[in-house]
Amino acid sequence: MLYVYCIVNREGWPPEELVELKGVEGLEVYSGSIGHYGYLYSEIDKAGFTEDQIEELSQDIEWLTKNAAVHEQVIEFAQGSADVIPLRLFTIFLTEASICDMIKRENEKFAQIFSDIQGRREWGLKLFINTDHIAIHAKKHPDFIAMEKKMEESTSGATFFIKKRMEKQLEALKEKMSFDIADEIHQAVLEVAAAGKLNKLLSKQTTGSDKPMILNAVYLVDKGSEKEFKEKIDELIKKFVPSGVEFRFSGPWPNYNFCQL
Amino acid sequence: MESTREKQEVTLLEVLNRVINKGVVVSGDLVISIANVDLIYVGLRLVLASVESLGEGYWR
Repeated sequence: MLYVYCIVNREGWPPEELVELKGVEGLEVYSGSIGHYGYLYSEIDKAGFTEDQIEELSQDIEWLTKNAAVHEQVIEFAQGSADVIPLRLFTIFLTEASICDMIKRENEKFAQIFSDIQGRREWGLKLFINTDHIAIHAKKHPDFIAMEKKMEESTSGATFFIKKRMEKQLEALKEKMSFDIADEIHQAVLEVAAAGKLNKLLSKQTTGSDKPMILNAVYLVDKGSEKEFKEKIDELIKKFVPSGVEFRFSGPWPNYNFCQL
Repeated sequence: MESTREKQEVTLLEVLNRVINKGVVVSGDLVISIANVDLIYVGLRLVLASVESLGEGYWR
């Protein structure tokens, strides 16, 4: 059986150093080709990869993290010398003939993707916000100041309700100000990217951060524009870190987010 | 400053999210889907300490 990592555009392919590369479970990585396209694969033991066993492996976090990293490394290697369509973990074919059938079947879609991603790489940007920090700014907002004034003038009986309303107002202001910042940063980054996509915000439980996530974006950037792109990120970091924004910038990545069939 | 461990964790999450969630799905002979990636993320933090040699120069 064949475990396939990625489809590559065949210009300048296959590279010679392939022998140095180890794939999932330490297996050799081979390259095959059909028409304009190449692919990287490992030969896996049919007995070790039944659907039940794969189901089990996919729940074994240690196996998963090790082999997800390997899967990624093989794809990054390929990306070093060609444009690449990264395949999902556990893409398995029975024979080379069935890989070729798949490539023939998807030929037009692959051609479209390769034309979209040619010479481009993916970068990730996650933003987090320090809520205490944003609260300081929110408390300076005219809406909040007006409420504070009302509170001072109120009779003792009404204080409780006004206080409750102020807390609600403050939360709403904090949220609005946070997402305004996220949007401003996203728009600024889009100016130097070929494309951008927003992914769903991850919970604190998922990110392990004590700060809420306010942006989870990916950008497709021309290799020729990467310097400009990074300068823009640096500029935004300088501008927004003092407002309590935390930047998690990553890349370059294979174009995982820009290759959907 | 983030510690090295935190950085690794962040990047490993990035890798997992991409290879499990975002990699292109072609109709292979075997179709495997990993249902709950969020659970994997959470479990991941518990076992990270035991995952050691994931390769230098790999972490961003």
